[in-house]
Amino acid sequence: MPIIKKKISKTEIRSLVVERLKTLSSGRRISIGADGDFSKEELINHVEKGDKIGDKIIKVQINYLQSLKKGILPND
Amino acid sequence: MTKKLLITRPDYETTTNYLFKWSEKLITEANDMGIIVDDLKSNFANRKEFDKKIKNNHGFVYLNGHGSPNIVTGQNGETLLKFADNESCVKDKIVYAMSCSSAKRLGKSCVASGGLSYLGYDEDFIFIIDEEKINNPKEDTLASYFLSPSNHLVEHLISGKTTGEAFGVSQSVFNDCIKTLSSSEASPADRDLLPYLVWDRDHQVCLGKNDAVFKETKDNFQLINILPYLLGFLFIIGLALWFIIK
Repeated sequence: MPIIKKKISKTEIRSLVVERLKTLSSGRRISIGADGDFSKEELINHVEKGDKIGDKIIKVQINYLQSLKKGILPND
Repeated sequence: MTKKLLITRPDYETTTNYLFKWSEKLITEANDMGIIVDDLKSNFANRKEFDKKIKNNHGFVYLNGHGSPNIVTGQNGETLLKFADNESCVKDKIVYAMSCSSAKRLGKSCVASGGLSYLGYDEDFIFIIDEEKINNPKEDTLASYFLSPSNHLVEHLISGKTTGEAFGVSQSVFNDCIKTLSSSEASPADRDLLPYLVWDRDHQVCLGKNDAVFKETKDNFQLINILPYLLGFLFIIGLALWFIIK
């Protein structure tokens, strides 16, 4: 059976990241350099708006998901 | 000949306060090793002081603060080191910038301008903070997963390891943290940290020489250092002349 690759849309990626952020434990803040530090709710808001901070978080999450595929540790 | 370290530690909001507090231990360790530490902390982390102190022939410059591809900043975001401006001031020095993105362009430019090595991050450095520990950063175990790899890098540099070795140790500490947090014993809350740890590890870089070592450097000749002796000598000569004439 040939593997059919489906291209994921930006909206789908955004929804995926929002769902991942929703599972983040409360009582934590994420420091993103000079942009400041953010609560879970604030980050979700930025991702949904698709602004600069939201895009950074999407990049981080996509980087992680891709690294899971190839192994997150050097000898994986 | 002495080992001299220049450190900048702005402290004006949460992120810089964490870096400020987490670097205190490193200053103590450096002092214990007999290293001369020029500590530009809080309001002293400004361009005027930086330009003045950087002339003191430091072997290692450790910058804490916010950054971007073109700059590393000090107190209240004042630019200390800037692309196409003052990179030549780190010629023959090792630089570690605990700041976002500065290795992307500024770091490369520092190395091209004669800097030995530039260690830092080519994207944003992101870390997680425990809200309950925000006023006590050194006890924040969540933040420790992110900041201890950085501290290990500095500890190894000041203890005489090469830049490549210090970078390798820091990467290993990142990997140990990632391994711990991805194990079956880790809680879902612990696993929250993984995307950000993997990101920081993947974007930590060592530019320039891998075999550079934080070495002793010559003390700069400064008139102010010999001024008391010079005045004493002139006083004795004057006194002798006065006796002769009299």
